[in-house]
Amino acid sequence: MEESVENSIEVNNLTKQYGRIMAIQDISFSLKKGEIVGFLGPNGAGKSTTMKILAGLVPANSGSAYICGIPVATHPEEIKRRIGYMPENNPLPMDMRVIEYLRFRGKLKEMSGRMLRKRIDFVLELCDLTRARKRVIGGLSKGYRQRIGIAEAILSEPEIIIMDEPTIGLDPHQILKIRDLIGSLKGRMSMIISSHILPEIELTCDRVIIINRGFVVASGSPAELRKEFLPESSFQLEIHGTYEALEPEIKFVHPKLSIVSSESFPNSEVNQITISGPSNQEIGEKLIKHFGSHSDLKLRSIYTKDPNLEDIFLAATKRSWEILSERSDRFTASPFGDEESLTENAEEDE
Amino acid sequence: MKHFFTLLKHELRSILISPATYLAAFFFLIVMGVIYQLVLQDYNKSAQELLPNNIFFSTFIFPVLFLVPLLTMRSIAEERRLGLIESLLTTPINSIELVASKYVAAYTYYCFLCLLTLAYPAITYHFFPDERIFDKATLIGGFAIICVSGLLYISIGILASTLTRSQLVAGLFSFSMLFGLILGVQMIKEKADEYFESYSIVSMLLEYIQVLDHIQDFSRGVLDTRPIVLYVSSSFLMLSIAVLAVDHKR
Repeated sequence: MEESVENSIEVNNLTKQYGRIMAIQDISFSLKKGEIVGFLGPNGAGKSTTMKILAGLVPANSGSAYICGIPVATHPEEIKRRIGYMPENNPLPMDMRVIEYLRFRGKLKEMSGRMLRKRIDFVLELCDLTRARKRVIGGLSKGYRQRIGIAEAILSEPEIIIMDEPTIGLDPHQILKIRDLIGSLKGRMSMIISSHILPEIELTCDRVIIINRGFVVASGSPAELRKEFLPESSFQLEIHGTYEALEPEIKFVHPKLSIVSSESFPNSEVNQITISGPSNQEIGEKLIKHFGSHSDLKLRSIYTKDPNLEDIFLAATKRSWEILSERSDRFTASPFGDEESLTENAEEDE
Repeated sequence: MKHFFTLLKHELRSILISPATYLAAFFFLIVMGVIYQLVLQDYNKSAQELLPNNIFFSTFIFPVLFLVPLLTMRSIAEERRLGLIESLLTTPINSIELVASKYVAAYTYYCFLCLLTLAYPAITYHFFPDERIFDKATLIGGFAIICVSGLLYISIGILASTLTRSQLVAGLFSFSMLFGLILGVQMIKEKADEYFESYSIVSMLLEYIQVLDHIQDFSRGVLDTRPIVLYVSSSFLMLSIAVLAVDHKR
């Protein structure tokens, strides 16, 4: 218990089964105070199930989850005082006004009158809802509704915020605003956010947890995951000269470098190539030096293409699928022999 | 029960702002008005054993069959379908408070609608000041049994609403349960009388749960405590199952 108090969220070997279908299996992770963690995974991976268990909405079959050191299973009411939860699809009562809704939720969250008024003004301002405060929720656009959901989640200043796809269905401008909003809460509250929009997660989160088919397949900061899943780095070069002469020159710079793709501009001798090789800061330098002094091949531009979270996500889920299919080959009776869509349905049905 | 009053206020508010509430009240009062008028016409034509209020109260059972499912089918089924129940349960409330608030709000509206029908004898009495029209004992007894039996009817409706996400299924389910309770028991009783002696346990039990008999007794001004115990205890049972259903079906 001592250990878990240091962490805002601690999850150990959590398993949840819907009938015959495993939604999550043996999931373990933890969140430090003030940390923002992104929760990624393909549809039906078990993201929402994990979040629901953390929010005390559904019980797990086995394993344990602690919120601020308090076990979720035995103290559901206590943990609900410490979390702000924004469910998937953000359900809101359509016949209420924004301010009425926030007041109602604040009262349910046991906030006192004066405190509640102050906080409502604060979150309305923070989420840019002040002008819409008197409007009926049913008449507001999706962007407004998402912001009402976020305002509600942070209303009672909870220690932990759990948001299930907060940026779904928003336009880029609104996503930018919500990113700033989440960024402004950094350090004050611990946050766990699931999202499909990967650049969002990369920019706002300290750490990323990727799950697939109910398993944690990767966990760490984007830089750590990059090292683990895509250790190679790639460069994009624009070079003036014949393509044939290029390959041996590149091999000369570093024997492990190889051309991944190439494109030549019509009516000119300019080639745009992408090369990849071991992650090494010096390679860029060597490339510039080598082509800078070359008589036939002239370097026009060079830049490093770091794999983004999207690439890491694809690599991590692909690797987990390979591992899982190996497993199901070995144990034909494994419940994971089922199609992926089964897990997906289980989550929707739930 | 810290959050009960916050939830109840919210429920009553949503009943009050919904146009459906006023439409339902309008149609209910029209139907009851027509029935009351028919009762008075009958009373006018020939000598009757019972007072007009007695007959009026025993007809109350038919609009109840339709009114209760319509009032309660939405409460939990629709909110669960929209995900609002899930969102509510992430705050520190418990399912007892949730079910109780929905129940009390629907029951308050039910009693309010039924008490509005007091206007008919009152208006009639205003123009024809006859003691038989506004007999206090029958009115108190009649409204007492309607309000007390409403405890059970509404709890059946709320229970049906917790069992499904579909309003239609919830409505039909509560209608069937009420139909079984009000008319089914009567039919079983008639059949059972052929096989059992009148003081056997079976016929006494069936007699105890005869809703129509309770109305007859109460609307004559006989305030019997046995039906009150029956309605209060069975509505507790229904609500307890409803709470378990909300907890189970998260």
